[in-house]
Amino acid sequence: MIQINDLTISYREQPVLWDIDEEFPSGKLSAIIGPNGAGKSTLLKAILGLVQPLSGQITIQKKSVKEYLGLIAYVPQKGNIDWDFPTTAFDLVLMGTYRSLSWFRRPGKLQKQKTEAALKRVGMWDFRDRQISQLSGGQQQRLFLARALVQDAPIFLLDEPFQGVDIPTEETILSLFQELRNQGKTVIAIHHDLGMVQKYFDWVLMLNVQKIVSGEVSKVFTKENLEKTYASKGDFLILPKLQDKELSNPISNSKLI
Amino acid sequence: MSLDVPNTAILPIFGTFRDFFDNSTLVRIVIGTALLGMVSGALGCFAFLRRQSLLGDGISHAALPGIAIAFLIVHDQPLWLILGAASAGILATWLMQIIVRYSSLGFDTALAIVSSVFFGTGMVLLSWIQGHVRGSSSSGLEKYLFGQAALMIEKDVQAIAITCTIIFLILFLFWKELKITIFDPEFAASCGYNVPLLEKLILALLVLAIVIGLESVGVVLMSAMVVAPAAAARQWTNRFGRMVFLAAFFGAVSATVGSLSSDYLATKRRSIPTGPMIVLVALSIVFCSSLCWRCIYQFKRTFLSDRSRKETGSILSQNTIGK
Repeated sequence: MIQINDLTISYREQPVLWDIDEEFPSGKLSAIIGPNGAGKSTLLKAILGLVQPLSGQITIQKKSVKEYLGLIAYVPQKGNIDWDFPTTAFDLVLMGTYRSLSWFRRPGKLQKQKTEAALKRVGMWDFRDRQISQLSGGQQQRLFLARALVQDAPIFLLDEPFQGVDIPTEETILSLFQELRNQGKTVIAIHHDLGMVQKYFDWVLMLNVQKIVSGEVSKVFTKENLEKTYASKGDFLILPKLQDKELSNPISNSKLI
Repeated sequence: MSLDVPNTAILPIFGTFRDFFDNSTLVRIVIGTALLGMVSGALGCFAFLRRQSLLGDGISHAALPGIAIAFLIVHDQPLWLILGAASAGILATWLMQIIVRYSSLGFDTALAIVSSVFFGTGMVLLSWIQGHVRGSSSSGLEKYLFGQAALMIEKDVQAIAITCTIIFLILFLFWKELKITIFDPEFAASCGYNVPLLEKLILALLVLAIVIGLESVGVVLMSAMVVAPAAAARQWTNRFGRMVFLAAFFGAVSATVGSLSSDYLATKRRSIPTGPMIVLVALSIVFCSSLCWRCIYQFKRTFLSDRSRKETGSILSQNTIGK
């Protein structure tokens, strides 16, 4: 569905992504993992057309960037916006509906209903009138999710949705992922917690400038592949115990950061 | 323009209503300055929220050589002077972007370099014009330094009114696109909006708002008209729309009160340019806003803390897990 061919991207002379070929399956939960500086965020931005590739193309359902942008809901990293901006939680989520409105038109009743539903879905309805800086990190992340939900898109791209969130938010996100998958939506998330990838995701792409491997988690999520992904950067850290099926707590101490 | 200089006293601001409307010069000044205060206040919010408040300073200083060159070519034609100022302002912002992109200098350095070089050039040109061009000393080019709202003529007010209408029309029509662009440009781009184009539009509007205020406020202090109303408005509200509305209101009030009091002082034979008066009014609004807001905050903390703590507590417990 999402097809990436020969994608190479560089900032100045430094390649960030090198000759990536990948095809993300539709209707699945996919994770992108890799060490810092592996080009994970850049890959998402390339899909969104926010960075220009040196070579290669990305197509979704055989459409090019300009045509497929309407199919994607994007959840950026929390740090990228000014949280002191004079806007409320409700308003932030409402912005997700702007795309469905043509030029000059303002959000109406339908858009507000959608916003209400999304806020309730992520448990943020009671905070709708708060200025956005008066919310915790987890709550801010849930707002971003709600904003993506109101976009009604078949594809979700998330940049580290679990970064610095509390346990309730993590549970909300995970249950949302399941729900989206049940609705046949495609979810692609950049992720750091390897234990969680193994437990909840269907498909994984291991990335370190070059593509190391990709495939179904049950097949490619092996120690060798992980070592290849993380070791070449030199900051090899303790890997989680992969065979440990007793991982009851999704945020075990297996965080690789 | 020299024909129209209203050195005839423009009278007691506290005069009767009838005096006010009898005095067409006064009406003209009030309308003109209120309009330009409104636009610079409203557009100032955009610069303020993108943390580029100083950009207004750069643009207004950089406008001076544009005015001087336009004067050399067409002499005293308000619309052309505005156009000259606008082109110089846009050229300056473009140069800043070039410097940031192709050197290791940061935005603040680029801003300082470009605006001071432009301003210096403008001053040199200005003194040259006054020494060499006949009739220039009476045309009052120096009003562009500190502003002289009393020198506003019918044509100026027309130019201001037209520009204001255009700016507010664009703000109204492209409201949601502009809002999403300054709040979260990356997200806006992911929604398919042409963010670079919208950013250029915001910049162009800001330049327009600044240059139409130059005659009344002057290049030196114009940046206060961009920053102060926005800063005051931000204290009162957490909604973007209301903030822009309030900033427009504060801008209009400070521009009007400032120019009227400058006029009033002129009748008392104390000549003070409009710019400094307007800026003083604007900054006292900022000061009062901060003070009021601080008091309200303290009051709430002292007297309502128990109740509000209970409320937030209950909301928190209801809301720990998404349903």
